[in-house]
Amino acid sequence: MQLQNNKNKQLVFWIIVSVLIYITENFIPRPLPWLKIGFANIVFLILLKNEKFKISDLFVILIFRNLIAAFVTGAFLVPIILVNTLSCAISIIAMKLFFIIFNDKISFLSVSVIGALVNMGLQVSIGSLIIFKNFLLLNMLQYFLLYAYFSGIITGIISNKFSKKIYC
Amino acid sequence: MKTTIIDWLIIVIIGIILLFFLFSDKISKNKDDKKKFLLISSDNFNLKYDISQDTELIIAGKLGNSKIKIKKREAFFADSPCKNKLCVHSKPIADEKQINACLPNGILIKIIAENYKDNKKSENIDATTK
Repeated sequence: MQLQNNKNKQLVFWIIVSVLIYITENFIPRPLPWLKIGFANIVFLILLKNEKFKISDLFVILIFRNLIAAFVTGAFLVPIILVNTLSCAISIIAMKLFFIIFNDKISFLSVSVIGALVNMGLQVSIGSLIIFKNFLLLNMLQYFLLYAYFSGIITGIISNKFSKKIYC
Repeated sequence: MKTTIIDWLIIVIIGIILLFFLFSDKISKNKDDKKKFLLISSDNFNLKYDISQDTELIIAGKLGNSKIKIKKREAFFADSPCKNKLCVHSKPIADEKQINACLPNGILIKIIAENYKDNKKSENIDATTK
C-alpha cells in the first residue's frame, strides 16, 4: 500500500514536470504547431530506463500531460492533440523496443532520435491524410524528419546529462 | 548515461538514410521528371520534340516553310520566310519556359519541362517524337 502510494506520488510528480516542460516549450516560436524540439519527451526517455515504471505508467503520464496542457493552452479537443497523443504513444513503444533490443549497449541519444523520427513520421502522416486530407505535408516529410533527427539528438544529449544526475 | 559507439553508429546510419531520402528526390526529379521538350505551336497544331536529339524540322506556316533546328539541346529558327528574320537572329532557346516565335509565319517554339509520365496523358499535343 505504501509502495503504491509512493509510486502514485512519483507519477503525479512526473506528470507535473512533463506538463510544465510541455507548456513552457509552447512559448518557443515555431513555424508549425508540431515542430517542437520535444523537451517534454525527456521525461519519457528517462522513465523508460527506470524499472519502477511500466510502459502503461508512461501512457498515463502522456494522456494526463496532453489533457492538462490542452486545457491550459486552450487547445482542448483540437485534432492536433489527439494526433500528438497517438504518435507519442507509438514512439514510446518504439523507444522501449529499442531499449529492449540493445539493452545497455546504447544511451538515450540514439533512442531519442528513433523516438523523434517515429513521432514526427506519424504526426505528419496522420495529420496529412486524416486532418488535412492531402499529400502536401507528406511531400515534405523528408524535411520534417531531418528536423526530428536534430531535435532527437538535442533531447538525447540533454537526457544523457540529466540521467547522470538522477541515476548516479 | 554515457554515449556509446553504437549510439554514434546508429545516428550516422540514420543520418545517411535521411540525406539519401532528401537528395534522391531531387536527383530523380532532375533525371526523370524534368525531361525537356521543344513545343512547336501554330494555329493548327502542336508538336513536341525531344530536345536531347539533334534534328532539323520543316514546319509549314502562314507564309511558307520555317526551318527549325535542334542542336546540342538548343532549338532555334534556322530559316523562315518572314521579311525581317527576327526569329532567325534570335538566340537559341534551351531552358524551361524560354520562347521564340516567328509571328508573321505564325509559329511559336517553346521549351517545356514536364513530367515524363504525363506526356502520354497530354491531350493538347498532336504528335510527339523521341
